[in-house]
Amino acid sequence: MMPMRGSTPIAGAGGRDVAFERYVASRQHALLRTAVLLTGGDVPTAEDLLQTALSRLYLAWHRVEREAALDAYVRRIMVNQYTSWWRRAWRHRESTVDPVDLPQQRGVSKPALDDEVAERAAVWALVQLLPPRQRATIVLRYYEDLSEVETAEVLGCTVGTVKAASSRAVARLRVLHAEEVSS
Amino acid sequence: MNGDSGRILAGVLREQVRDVPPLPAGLADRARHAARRRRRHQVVGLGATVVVAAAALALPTVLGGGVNQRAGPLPAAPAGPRVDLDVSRAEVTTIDATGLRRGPDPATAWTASGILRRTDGRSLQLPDGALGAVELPDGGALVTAGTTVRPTLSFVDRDGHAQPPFAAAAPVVDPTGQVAYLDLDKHLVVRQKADGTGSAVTVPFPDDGVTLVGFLGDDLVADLPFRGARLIRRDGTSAALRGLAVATATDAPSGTVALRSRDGACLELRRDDALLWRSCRNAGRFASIVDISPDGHRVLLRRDKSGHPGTSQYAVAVAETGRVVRLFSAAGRTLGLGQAVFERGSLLVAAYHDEVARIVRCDQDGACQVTAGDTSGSASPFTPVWFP
Repeated sequence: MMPMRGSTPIAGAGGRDVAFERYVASRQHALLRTAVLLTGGDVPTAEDLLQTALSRLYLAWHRVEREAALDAYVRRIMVNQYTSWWRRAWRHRESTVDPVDLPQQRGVSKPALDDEVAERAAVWALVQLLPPRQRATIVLRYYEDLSEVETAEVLGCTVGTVKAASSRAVARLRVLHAEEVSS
Repeated sequence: MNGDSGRILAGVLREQVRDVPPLPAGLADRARHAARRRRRHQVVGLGATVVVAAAALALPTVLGGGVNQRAGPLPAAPAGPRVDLDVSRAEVTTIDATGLRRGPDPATAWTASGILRRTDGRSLQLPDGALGAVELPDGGALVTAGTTVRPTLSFVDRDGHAQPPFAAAAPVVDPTGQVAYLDLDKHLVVRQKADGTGSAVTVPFPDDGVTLVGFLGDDLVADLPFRGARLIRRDGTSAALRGLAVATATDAPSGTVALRSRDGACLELRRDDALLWRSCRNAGRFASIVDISPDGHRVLLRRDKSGHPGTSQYAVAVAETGRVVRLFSAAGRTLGLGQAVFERGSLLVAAYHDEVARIVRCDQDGACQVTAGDTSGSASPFTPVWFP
């Protein structure tokens, strides 16, 4: 889950394909998991998101000088791309996920869930309700375990903005959770 | 939510992705392919915009490009736009087949009264009990018969000699002459040359209700209940098809596949494994994408009046954008439409009037003509040879 923090120079022009394939092979599943969280559990969209991000990484390979920057670059593209898709979907007032594929719906609907599992399912359902950038803040801070500085780099904003967004997201989760409990 | 929000959040997030399935092999290749498409698209720049605009002006003359040839590389797939499939701005064509002039015979094969009319102009007498037939490139046909519970297939050679029927269903043929079907006795997906020669590749299928949808490149697309759409490769291996759960149409040359969600709420179109568009709003309330034009630039959508089989309406939309161009519906003495397919640059659709059915050809301007069938009251419906 941690970003790659090495400082190995990546391959030059001749080895770009080999280096790219090696990177994708080693990081694709971890990055897919991040994409799934960014999209709120929509696996098909997450796969498209990751492929889009990797295609852009391939084009920008020579500008990304260190392997340490690769994960951050892909994450940044995924956050921005998904936010863009989400805005377009919102304008069309359209669900962007296939309701039958939502894992939390399967989980919540099971009557035999114990309290702890139900609590976790409820929290995840609330995370899904967050706008993409707030959800991205949560994912980067609490799933990827990035620092506020690293999160700010991925999101392309200041550390103060990350602190505020993170605080707002957690506060919003608390409010949503309270509404959920009282309803 | 209690005080330790961070700990709870971290646990919840990790739990949600614990069982995320691995990606199909070849992600790096697909990403590189998409990158090159993107780079070509960027290089072409304004020139491409002008070409697309010119194409948009030219396309109203035909549905699929006018001729059964590709007009060049298909546009790069945009990554995941959502569309609404709104029909409010689409042109509407109402079809009353009784008043239409007669035009040339269909350019696709079709059957009527137990005879297959081939695209090469020859006719094949089909065996008794034939329900339909798929034209084979070697001059013969693959004939469907039997019952819903016990469907059968039989090969008919170019001279009309039929081999014994066997328990099988869901025949699909690709432009190169490969044929595939489900052998229901052996529980195998069989893939072989159209004339039955060559080694058959067989793949066991564990579920009842498997359907073959069509070829996609060199792969075969199958729908499996509870497991979703899958790609069956030439070597017999299979992999989950990306996207929504149920495949409804394929176009092998362009690598385009249409899918819908299991509940029917969402439709999507993918090309070269990338999402062209998805619609979950589905404002036109279409049930599925039933065909893709021979040039890959148009798709055919179908919607049905609930409880009224054979009264389908069809719409043609732009494959690359999902924009609905034209809606076709029955009018006057024509009671319903069905079994529509693309025919080169036009649409072929069966128009029903009491016991008579005619095949009607409509171009994208909405000009229609009868291509097969008469007004004498024949009880045998005319049907395009292959329909989803």
